Amino acid sequence: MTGERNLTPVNVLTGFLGSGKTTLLQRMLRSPALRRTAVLINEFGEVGLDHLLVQPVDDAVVLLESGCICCTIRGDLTRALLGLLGRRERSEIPYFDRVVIETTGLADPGPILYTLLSEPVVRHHFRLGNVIATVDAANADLHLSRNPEGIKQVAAADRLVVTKTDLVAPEQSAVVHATLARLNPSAEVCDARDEALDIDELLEVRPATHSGERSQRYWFLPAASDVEATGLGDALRRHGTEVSSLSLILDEPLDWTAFGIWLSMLLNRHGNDVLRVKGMLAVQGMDTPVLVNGVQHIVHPPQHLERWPTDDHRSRLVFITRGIDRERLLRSLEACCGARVAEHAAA
Amino acid sequence: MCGLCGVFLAEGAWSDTAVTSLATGGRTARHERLYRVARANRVLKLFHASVADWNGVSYVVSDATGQTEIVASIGAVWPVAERMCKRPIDPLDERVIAAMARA
Repeated sequence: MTGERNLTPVNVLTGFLGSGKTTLLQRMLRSPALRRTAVLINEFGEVGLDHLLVQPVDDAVVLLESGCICCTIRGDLTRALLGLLGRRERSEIPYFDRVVIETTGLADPGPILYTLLSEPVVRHHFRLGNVIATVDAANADLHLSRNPEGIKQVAAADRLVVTKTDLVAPEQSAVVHATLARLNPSAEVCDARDEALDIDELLEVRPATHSGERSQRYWFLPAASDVEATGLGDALRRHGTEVSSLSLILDEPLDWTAFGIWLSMLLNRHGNDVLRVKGMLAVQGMDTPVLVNGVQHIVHPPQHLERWPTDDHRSRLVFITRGIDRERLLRSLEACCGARVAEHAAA
Repeated sequence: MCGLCGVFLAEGAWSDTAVTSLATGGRTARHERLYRVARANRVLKLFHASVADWNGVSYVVSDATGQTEIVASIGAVWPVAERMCKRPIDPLDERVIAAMARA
């Protein structure tokens, strides 16, 4: 079997319509570390124009056929990835060592991740990098409160990039940052206008263990419970978006088998409403942590870290759910896994 | 594919991957598999169903009426068991939570 290190990483760049995905992509492609990146763009409309902007990797840009990844593109995505692979093998295009998929603004990222993690041929040549979502600070209220895809994009993200902050007052920008931190406590929230924004870090270009530790250290920060209700949060509630997050800390190491059975049972019944589960777990019998990462019904293969990023070796779990009673979720976890939740924060 | 019975060797599901890649409290892979079956049966018995290991490569889901189906991973047990018992197997159901808390 192909080793993890030999697989070509695939980063998914998502975000609502007009939220600045292509602008961010162009900035990414200026990074020397990404000079050998192929780009897949999924476009709405008969003529896809955005790909014309992606000059540096022009030869390796493939425009996916379908306008909507969420329901029809899995075959297209598979063909596009394997097509790139074939062209690389035949030296028809410059060698690439990374792929970035820019989704449509209306895409549900779940099926894309499912394709990358489960399609037998794809997963033997590619591995999922991370998921980056752009959020337009000027229109975050509209995008997130009225479009379930926008919420799914934020929930699935490992990095959230707030764009167009120069068009809004600093207070509104702060509200958007705070709301995103509440919606997805496991994702790092960055500002696209930040000159110091590290593109390589954004894409986790560096070795997995290094990047993984850094990103996990991020959500060892205090839980989002102290983020007060914001205007955007109120808007989300007004529009009936029952999305919430639950951050847990467990004192004792988990029984991995019991946890796996419980989570598989939960996702079977409520996978559509478990928008994200992400955890760094202390597992019985192991000295180092294990990462679990799931988006709806899709769970990444568990990943080992070589060491704990901080001296706190307790399990951390984050759930982003829609319409699920958090208190019941917590009691179910405790009852089915024999776990005891030491601290929890809901937002 | 198994030459004798024609069963595809399924790709491991994420929860089953743990057998070989995660330390499991000193249990061997075989022991771990049986432990997983025992843990799943704690839930399934509430629904008059059960699961058993099948040659270390698959699982057999059964119910009280004798229905039997082979599945590839522990995650695939739940939809099959639900279909057999015609009820949702919901870990957020208060009866399941209460029963598991007592188990």
